[in-house]
Amino acid sequence: MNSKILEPKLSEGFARLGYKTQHGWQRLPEWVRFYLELGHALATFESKNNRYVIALSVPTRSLVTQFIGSGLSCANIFLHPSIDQEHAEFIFSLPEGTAVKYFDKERVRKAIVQQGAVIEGEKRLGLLIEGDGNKTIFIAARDAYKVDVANKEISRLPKHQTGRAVRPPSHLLTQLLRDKTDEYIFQTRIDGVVVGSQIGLSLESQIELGFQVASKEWQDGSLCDLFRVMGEVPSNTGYRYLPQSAIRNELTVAHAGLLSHAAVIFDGSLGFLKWRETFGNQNWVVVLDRTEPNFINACAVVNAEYASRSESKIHLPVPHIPPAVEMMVFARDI
Amino acid sequence: MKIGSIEDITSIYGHAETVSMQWRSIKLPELKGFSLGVERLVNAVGDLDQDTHWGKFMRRLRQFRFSCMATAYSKNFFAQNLDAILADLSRNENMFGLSYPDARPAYQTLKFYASRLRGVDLAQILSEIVKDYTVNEKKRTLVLVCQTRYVSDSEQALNDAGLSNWSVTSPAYLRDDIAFEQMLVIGPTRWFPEYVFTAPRANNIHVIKYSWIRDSWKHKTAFLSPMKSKAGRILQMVSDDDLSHDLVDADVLLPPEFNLQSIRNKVTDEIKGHSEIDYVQARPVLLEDDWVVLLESDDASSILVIDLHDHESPVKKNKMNEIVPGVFVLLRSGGGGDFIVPVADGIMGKEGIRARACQKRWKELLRDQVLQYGYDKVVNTLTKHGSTRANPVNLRNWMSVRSIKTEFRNDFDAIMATVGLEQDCATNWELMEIIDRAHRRAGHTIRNMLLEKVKTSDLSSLKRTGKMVFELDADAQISITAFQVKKVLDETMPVLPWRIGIPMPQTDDE
Repeated sequence: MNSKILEPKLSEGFARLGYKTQHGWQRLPEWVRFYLELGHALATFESKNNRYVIALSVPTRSLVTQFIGSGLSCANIFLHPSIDQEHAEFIFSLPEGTAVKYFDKERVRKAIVQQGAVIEGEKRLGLLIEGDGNKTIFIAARDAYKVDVANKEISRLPKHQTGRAVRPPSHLLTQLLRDKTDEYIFQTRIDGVVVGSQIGLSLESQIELGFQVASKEWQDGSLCDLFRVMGEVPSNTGYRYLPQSAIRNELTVAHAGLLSHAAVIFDGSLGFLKWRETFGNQNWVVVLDRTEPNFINACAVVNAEYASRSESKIHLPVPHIPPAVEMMVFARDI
Repeated sequence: MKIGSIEDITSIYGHAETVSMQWRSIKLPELKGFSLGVERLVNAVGDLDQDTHWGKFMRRLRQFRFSCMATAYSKNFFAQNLDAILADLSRNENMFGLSYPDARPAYQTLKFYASRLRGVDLAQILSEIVKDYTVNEKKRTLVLVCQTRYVSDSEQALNDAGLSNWSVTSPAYLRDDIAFEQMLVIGPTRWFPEYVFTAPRANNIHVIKYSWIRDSWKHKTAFLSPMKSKAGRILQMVSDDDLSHDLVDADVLLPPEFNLQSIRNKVTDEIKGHSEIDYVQARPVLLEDDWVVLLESDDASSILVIDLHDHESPVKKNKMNEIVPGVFVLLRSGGGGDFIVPVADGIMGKEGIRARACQKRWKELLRDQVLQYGYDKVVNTLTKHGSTRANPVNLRNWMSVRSIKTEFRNDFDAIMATVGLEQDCATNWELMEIIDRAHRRAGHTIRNMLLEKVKTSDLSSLKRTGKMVFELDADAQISITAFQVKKVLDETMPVLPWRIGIPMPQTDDE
């Protein structure tokens, strides 16, 4: 069922990630590598008829969701170019007058969608980028990733617009994702939903990470550079996950619009028990902390799901599962 | 609260890979005799839960037996409780013999063994054992007791034995990302949640139990078909176990479970003589340290909580359906009842006396109308008098002592007309607005006082013991206690409004 293969350079990059201790930088421990590679492996999954369920029983759920989510998003950007196609279709379907952001050459400019044109037989999107002189540029589908919907309406464009410098704020990402860095930082692509305590996840994600470029040289960044959740990243940048509170009663994400490859990561038993039916058609990553009050109930639900599993088998190319972790993997029919 | 560093979390993963578990058994014939004596009595007459008097008596015995084996028990506290049990056994001897003549020999045997406990110092014995683990003083050691109610006393006992720098805690604390080098678990593994051993927070776990308690532990998988993981090394060693045949299963020794019936009886007594219209539906919530509170079951009702994640604004309001195990709820523990009212009364001063009298009067008159004519007729009358929101739900709310006034003036005027106070409409509305404003100010004041207290308090004790008292105003006797929620029960029961939010001990047996 898994048709994609792992991106070796990404695994090499993950292996060079580290964290800061009082004695300096240290390579990430094995358990972190496991979760990053698990996320990486999940990005290889492709099926029209099945969805995956990955259930994890862990000694503490701290950082598990963030690292799986990071692994999945970083891998998606390499392994799922079709996502760009979807984005291009979305951008090309925007009505005239829509306010957008246009990223180019490490600068972001305000723009307004204009009537498109066919240039050399290729359909292009028209963008008005300066108020004075009607400066309109035409964007090909392959460059649609440079365009994103603006956060607020634009009443008037500046007469002359040089744009704001948007140097990738994370050296770590630049090293890890290379030419995909801008796309990763500045574009919004929904890889999934995170159901959990938003404050807890947010605080945990502040952890400083680094990328080892030489024996004593590290390029720094933080976990929230990798794990990009709506509302937790600067508003002029993009995100990869939608947050859903585990406790609140209100559904805060538009789950109906989630794409089939999107994964719902349940960070803890409570959110899983409360919201699993809402996300019944998506891929699931269920992180269950053994110390949680609802752990046994949640395991019972996972086991009941397993009893109704599909006959299809899922092969996950992951490294050794750490002894502290129990993992069950199965497919469900859609 | 989680938020550990990668190093802390790595230690936890490391412990799960290399943990060793060792059992250490304590031989104490006096306690064994007492324990088996209680068991023989239970076998002879049952737990007698249906009998109010003897049920309580049996619960006290079982609870005391459990406490002796589950805690370090300081010398004084043990002596006090033993004296109470001995007095209980003497006082009830004749009556018990008359009620259960066949069980008289078991009763006398138990009494004999209980009296033999007099010369025993449980704290001393356990402390001597615990001292064996202090060979390396620098080892970070945690003592774990199975219930939060035993934390303070066990700490006291260890302190008396000169082990003042040892932390004692209960399992809920182990949900944090903490790691110790060794953990001394007081009591058999069965008395602790699985995660103490499956997600160990220490590399060496020493289970200290009495020798006649049968105990073993086996790792069970959580999922039906887990993938094969890298092999861990969980070492188990058993030492010093009693070789006699009269071993007792750890399960049998567990204390009686929370007796919901006793709470049900209590609130049923309280509502006697009141009409159904006075009730609110409440849900029992079990709290750490063996407390229980009844909270309004209506999902829309709210309660103050402490969010340990949020350092800037840790005091928050949660809806009832957001109250789940692990959450810290804030409950009035000094003076009883709603903690807004006394503060609001203080704000209103003399004017408040008149306003409260007016509030009480019109609510009583409205209630009398409902009692006399029923909800539907009163709703009709209110509608005739110009109310646009009169319906049974709103009417119940307007009558409730927990509400102040209607939201809109036309509904209030309709009530005044219905209860015959139309000539005082404007004055009464004014008075209700005074109360309303005072309540808002009181809420604000209390919230600020609480915030200040919580922000300046060392919350590690709250995390360790699941309970913490915040003295807000000694003069007004306002103290608020934060309790960690253990379980929210499904059952609801009708209670009087004043019963809501007042913590009660789960049992008065010990």
